[in-house]
Amino acid sequence: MFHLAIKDMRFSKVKYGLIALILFLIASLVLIVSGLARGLSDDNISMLAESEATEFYVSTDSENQLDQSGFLIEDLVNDVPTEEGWQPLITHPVRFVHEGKADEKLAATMIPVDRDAKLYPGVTGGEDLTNDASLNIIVDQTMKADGVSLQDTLYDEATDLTFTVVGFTEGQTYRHTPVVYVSETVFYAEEISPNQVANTVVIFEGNDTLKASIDSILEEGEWVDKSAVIDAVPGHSSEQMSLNMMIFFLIVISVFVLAAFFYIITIQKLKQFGILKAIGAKNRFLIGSTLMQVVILSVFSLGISVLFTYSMTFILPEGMPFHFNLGTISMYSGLMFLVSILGALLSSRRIVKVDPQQAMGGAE
Amino acid sequence: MTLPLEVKQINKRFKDGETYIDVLKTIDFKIKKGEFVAIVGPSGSGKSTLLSIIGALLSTDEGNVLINGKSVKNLDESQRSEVRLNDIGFIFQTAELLPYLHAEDQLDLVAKLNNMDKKERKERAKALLTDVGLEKRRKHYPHQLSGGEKQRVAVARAFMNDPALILADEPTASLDEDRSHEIVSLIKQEVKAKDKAAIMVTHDESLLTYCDRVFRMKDHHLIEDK
Ligand SMILES: Nc1ncnc2c1ncn2[C@@H]1O[C@H](COP(=O)(O)OP(=O)(O)OP(=O)(O)O)[C@@H](O)[C@H]1O
Ligand SMILES: [Mg+2]
Repeated sequence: MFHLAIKDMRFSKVKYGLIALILFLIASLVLIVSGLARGLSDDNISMLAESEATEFYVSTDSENQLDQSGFLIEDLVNDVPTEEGWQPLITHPVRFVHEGKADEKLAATMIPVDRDAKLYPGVTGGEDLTNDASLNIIVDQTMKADGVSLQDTLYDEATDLTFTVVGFTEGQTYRHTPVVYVSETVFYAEEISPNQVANTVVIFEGNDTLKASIDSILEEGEWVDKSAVIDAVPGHSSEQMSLNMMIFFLIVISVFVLAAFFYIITIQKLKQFGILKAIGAKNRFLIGSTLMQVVILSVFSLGISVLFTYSMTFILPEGMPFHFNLGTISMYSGLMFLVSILGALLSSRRIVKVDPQQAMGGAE
Repeated sequence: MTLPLEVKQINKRFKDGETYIDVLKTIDFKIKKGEFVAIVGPSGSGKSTLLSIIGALLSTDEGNVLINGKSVKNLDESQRSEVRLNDIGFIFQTAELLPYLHAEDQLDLVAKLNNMDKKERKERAKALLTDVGLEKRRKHYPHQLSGGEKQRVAVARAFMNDPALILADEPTASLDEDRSHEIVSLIKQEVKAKDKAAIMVTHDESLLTYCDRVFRMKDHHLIEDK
C-alpha cells in the first residue's frame, strides 16, 4: 500500500506537488495567524495569565477592568494581614525616557511588589529585586527589543525618578506593555501613586471567609475569577475573536479546497480503480492507498509549514507579537491533518461505487 | 479431477425500461486444463457479458459457474475479489497497466495483493517477463513500451498469481495483424506450458487457428463448432 502510494506520487510529481504546496500555504497561514493570535494575547495579558492569583476583587462598576477599578486599602491592611492570603495589585502606567538611548518614550506598566510575595514572578536574568529603598527595577525581557539592557537607567518624568534596570523577567506583559517590577518600599516611599490605593485585591486560592471579610471592609466590589478579568482587558476579546474567526474560515476553506483536489484526483483514477478491482484488489486496499497518499502528503506539508512558522520567529522583527507556542501549533497542525483526511474520505465513496465490470468489454 | 471451469445453464437478462431483454440463454459448457477456447459472435451478442459472469464480475439470473469446482454464486463482493485474484487472470482489450509502475512492478502488485512472499514474486515476475520476451524491458514504464509490448506485460500479469483460468476479452482489438498473432500465440504458449484453461473473445477469425475449440454466440445461445 505504502509503496504503491509513493510510486504513484513520484510518477505524478507535479500534480501531488501542487497539492502539497497548497496544503503547505494554507497550513502556514493558519499557523502564522495562530502564532500572531497567541503573541498578541500574550502581549496583552500574559502578566495575568501567568499570575498565581485565582480571584480578583474588582469595583462593581468597573466591568472587570482593572484600570477602572480602585480601592483604598488602608483599613484592609490594618484589619486583615496579607499573610492571610491576599495581596493588593497595582498596575501603574509609566512612560520612561531611556537615558542616553532612543528619543521616544518607552511605555510600561509598573507593579510594586514585595520580593517574597506570590505576585512577584522572580528574575530570569540579572539580579533579583531587593526590598530596600534603592531605585532598582526588574523589567520584562521584551524590553530588550527596545534596546534596554542591564544597568541601563530609565527616567520617569511624572515622578522625576531615575530607575536602574537590575534584572529581567519573562512572560510579564500587560496591555501591550512590558511590566516593570519595583519594590513596594520604593513605590510607597516615593509616593508614585497615592498612598494605599490598589486597583484590585487578589487571592491565590478560594477561601470564603477571607473573601467575605475583604468584601465587608472594601465594599463596592465583587469577586470575579481570573478569566473574567482577562476577558475584560481592553482589546483582548476582540483581537482574539477576529483572529480566531480568520483561523476558522481558513480551516473551512481548506476543507473545501483539499476535498476538491482529492476528489479530482480520485475521479481521474476511477478507471484505474475499476481495473484494479477487476483483477482482485479490494475497496479496503484502494481506499487505504489513497489515504496513505494523503497521510504522506499532509505529514510532509505540515512538517514543512511547522518549520517555516518556527523560522518566522527569527525572520519577524523582535517587537512583533508573534509567539511560536508548541501547544497551539500542534493543535492546529493536528486539525489540518484531520481536515485533509476528511477531505480524502469524502471521495472514498466514489472508489467504493466503481463497478469492476466496466473493465470488461473495452475502453470507452 | 475438478475442471477449471464449468458453466451450468446460465441465463442473463438486462432491464430495458419496462421490459427485459434476454442476452444469454441456457449457456452450458466445460473447459479442461490446457484447453484454449475461443468465443466469436456478432457485436452485442453478449460475449463480454458472458465473460464478466464467468469472471465473477457480474451475477447470473439463473444457472451457476464453477471455478475449480467452487461455485461463485452466493459469494459476497469481497469473496468474489478473492476468486478473481487467485483463480482468474484477466487480459483486457487494452493493456490497462498502471501508468506509474514499470513492467516488473505491474506483476509484483497483483502478487503482493495475493500475499506472495517477496522472493517468489521477484522470481515469478522475472520468469514471466522472460517468457513474453520482455526480459530487457523489465524496468520500463507503460509510456516507454509499444502497444504490443504493453499487451505482453498484461499477458504476463494475468499468469502471475498462477490462476486456473485465463479470460481475454478481445485482447488484440488495439493491435495490428502481426502483433495480434504474436499476442495470441503467446497466450497459447503460456496456456500450454502452464496447463491452464483459457477463453478468448475475438472478432478475428484468423486467430481461431491457435484455439483448441471455437464457440459461437447465436441468438443468445453458445454453440460449439464441430
Ligand atoms: N449493464 C447493462 N445494462 C443493460 N444492457 C446491457 C448492459 N451490459 C450490456 N448490455 C447489453 O447486452 C448486450 C450484450 O452486450 P455485450 O457487451 O456482452 O456484447 P458483446 O458481444 O461483447 O459485443 P462487442 O462485440 O461489441 O463487444 C448488448 O445489447 C448490450 O447493450
Ligand atoms: Mg464485448
